[in-house]
Amino acid sequence: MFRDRYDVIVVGAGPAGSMAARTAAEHGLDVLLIEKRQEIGVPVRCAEATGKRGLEELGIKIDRRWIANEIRGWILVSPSGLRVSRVMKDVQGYILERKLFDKYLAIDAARKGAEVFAKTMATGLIVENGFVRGVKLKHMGEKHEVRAEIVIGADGVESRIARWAGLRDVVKKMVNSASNVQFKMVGVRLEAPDIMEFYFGRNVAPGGYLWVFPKGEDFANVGVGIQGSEQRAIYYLRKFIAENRERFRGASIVEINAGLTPVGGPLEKTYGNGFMIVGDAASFIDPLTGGGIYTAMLTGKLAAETAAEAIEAGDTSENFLARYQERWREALGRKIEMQLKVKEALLNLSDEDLDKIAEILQGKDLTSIGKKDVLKLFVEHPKLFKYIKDFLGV
Amino acid sequence: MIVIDRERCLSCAACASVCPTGALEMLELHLVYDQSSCTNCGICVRKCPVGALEMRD
Repeated sequence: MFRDRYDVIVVGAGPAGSMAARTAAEHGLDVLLIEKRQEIGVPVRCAEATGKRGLEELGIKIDRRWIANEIRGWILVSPSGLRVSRVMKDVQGYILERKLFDKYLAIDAARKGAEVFAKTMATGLIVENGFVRGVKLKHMGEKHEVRAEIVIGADGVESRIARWAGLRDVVKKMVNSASNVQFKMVGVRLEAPDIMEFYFGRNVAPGGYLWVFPKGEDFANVGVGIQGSEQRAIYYLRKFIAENRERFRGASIVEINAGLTPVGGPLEKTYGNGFMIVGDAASFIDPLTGGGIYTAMLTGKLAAETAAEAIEAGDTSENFLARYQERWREALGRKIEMQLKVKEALLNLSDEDLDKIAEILQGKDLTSIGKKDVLKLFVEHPKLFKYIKDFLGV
Repeated sequence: MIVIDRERCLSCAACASVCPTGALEMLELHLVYDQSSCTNCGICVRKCPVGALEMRD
């Protein structure tokens, strides 16, 4: 069973936690990775799309077993139905099979030397002299207290570790979030099996978007994320399916997923004495797209690398662990700031504005747009300048 | 107080994630509600993607 102490305890075996555990084990640390559910990877709370470059950068070798589909482009559909698309020759990203992907990452962490325990819930932290010193656990009804030099909280949007450790803005970050619901549907007529579809508009997905992400020839994740609406997310999903009867005629719902996507940017502070918070638990999610798989894995890796250095130096104080925050800021800070600005600008655009932008971009080859084309676009359509200005917040 | 419609609940944890007092909490896949720590703020009701929560007096 559990040892009395480890170098690092990671709470939560999603992509962030498993990546943290694997990285810590690779650095020669004693690692315990716990997952409260009896099966890693379920339930899925994700639209399962991720970029190819991100996986490559993190050194994840593509394994057909957890790839549902390859993606080569996207299509954006404006409120009045105007379409803007961009399709590349090469594979740009994947729709994952998260149930298998998450298991693969946890198995990989175990093979690299981490101890992994499913059905093991954190019920509290061991805190001494203002330092997190371990985790109180419950496994199959038995209680344990396990000590660690560093605790990494990878416990998702419902994070308890961040709250217990005293990070005050956790709830505020979670409230600034989109509510999502998704049907996994089979028998759907798709635009193309390698193109992700996004739909926008006040009546389609207020404060968010609706997606159709193909997982196969006739199989797709069809979901919606909304924010600040009186109606529930499920209302908009059902409405879309009803209004697109032709595409969904005879289609079946084989799984229903739901969840929350924090879209207000990461926690102000993601560390403290003896702990760090990674992935969804710290709101590491692209505020514009709602994507979080890459940022989860990256922050898990950065936290584990920092943990290895801290343990080596014999200093797990927040002064030392501040390196983790410096590192993720260096890697993600600018991108997140930019995406937040674009999101704010988009939220301020009316359906009519969105249609106008779509009208201008429609039919343009977006893959080969250069500076000259952009300039020409501005000259031909002076109004666009205002939108782009708002867009960039300049 | 909050009333949970268990027939609709998808155990997605949206409510538990936004609950300021931890009155709603997910055990493995089971949502538990502690009325004594609930402040009736209603954030969970607004965030539920499927309308499984309702506020009652």
